[in-house]
Amino acid sequence: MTSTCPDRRSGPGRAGLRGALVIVAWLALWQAVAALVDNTILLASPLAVAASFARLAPSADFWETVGYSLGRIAAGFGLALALGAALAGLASLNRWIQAFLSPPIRAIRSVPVVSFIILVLIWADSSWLSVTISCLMVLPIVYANVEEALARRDRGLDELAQVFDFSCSRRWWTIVLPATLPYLVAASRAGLGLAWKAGVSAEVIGLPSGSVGERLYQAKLFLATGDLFCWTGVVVGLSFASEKLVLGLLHRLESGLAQAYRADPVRRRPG
Amino acid sequence: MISFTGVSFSYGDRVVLRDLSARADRLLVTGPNGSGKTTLLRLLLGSLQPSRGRVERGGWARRAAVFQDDRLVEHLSALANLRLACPGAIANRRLEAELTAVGLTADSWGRSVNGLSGGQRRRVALARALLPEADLICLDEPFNGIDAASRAALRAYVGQRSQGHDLVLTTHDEADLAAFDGLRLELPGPG
Repeated sequence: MTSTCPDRRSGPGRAGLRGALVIVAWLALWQAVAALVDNTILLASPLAVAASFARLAPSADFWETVGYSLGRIAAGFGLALALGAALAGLASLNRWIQAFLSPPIRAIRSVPVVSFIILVLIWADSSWLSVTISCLMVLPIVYANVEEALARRDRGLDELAQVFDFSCSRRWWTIVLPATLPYLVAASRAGLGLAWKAGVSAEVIGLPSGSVGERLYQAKLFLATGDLFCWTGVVVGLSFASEKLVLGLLHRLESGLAQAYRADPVRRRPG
Repeated sequence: MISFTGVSFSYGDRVVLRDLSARADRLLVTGPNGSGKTTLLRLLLGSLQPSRGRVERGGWARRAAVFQDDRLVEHLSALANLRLACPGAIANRRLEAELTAVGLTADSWGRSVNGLSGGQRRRVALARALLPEADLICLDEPFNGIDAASRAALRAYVGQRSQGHDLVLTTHDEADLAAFDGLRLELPGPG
């Protein structure tokens, strides 16, 4: 006989509580270790980091700094998404184009990020740094995922489109886009964290004025470990929030497409 | 007019069709498994090119087909799958009438086709092939998966709707051959 009672050990509320308790436990452990070390330069305590945040957050300068890095890293990510998808689309049309694009994509994937950072600093202003670097880090991921999506798509549907003479837009909306979207979601999930890590690292090296990277560098310079942890927390939070936002938008597009297709209203029965 | 002369086709070293010729408005293709029925259909639809010989495709501005594997767009509804096959705007009433005619009940029209049974999916594929009034209609074993009780009625409907259009039908079923008039082409077995 099976029980119809809800399982008390599962459910979103229970999982949320478990997550919160785990975070509290880690914060308590961090606080205990910081108290043991008793040196704010070596290890700032959670309370010291919170105090740093409370001091920094009310200033306009803090939000301008966040906006500066957020804008540039988001732009780099968006550019990589568009460029990677477009290049993979081009590569899927012709094996020669694919062969032509393969070496630079492989090079971008393999070349150390610091080499690109130095090159960008030689060729352009440091304000371009986080846009370029986050774009370069995400581009090969998007390219590889979209290329795979297009290679794995149902070839039978291509034949269907050819026989029934689908227009380009009909082919795009009904065959190509639904096949590509899940791969774009996977690429975004993998790419967003990388965009933030590489983008902020580039800012720490290139020191564009008014960036989060510059603030991290200053925290290191003045041995302000509380500020260092605070800015690191800001980067982690921004990365998490932007991941939620982008994935949410892509999932919305995915379900919107499915709903639009299913929405054919059955207005009335014939006859 | 369906017309091809001296058509041969090979997949690599394996010869599937050898020196076939025919000229007819309606062509009924039979033969054992692997004899090349589907390959011939794909040659006529232009999805494959013959290794040798010639297929006349000049007179067909619009083509339609029932593929062996249904080939429906899975995330779409039955109505949307039908609408895809029509190049311009089309009233829902016409789509619904076609689905009713092939025996699909109204509760299945708006659902995505991946939730339909094999027989229901086949009916959607049939409706999709008949709706666009194509110059060439290719039906690859079109009544597979349809229950025996509905087959005769569907044969009669397809026969009536395909009048005046070039038609190629492949089948193993003698009843299909009896129900459709046209030139019979029996393909030899593989090997």
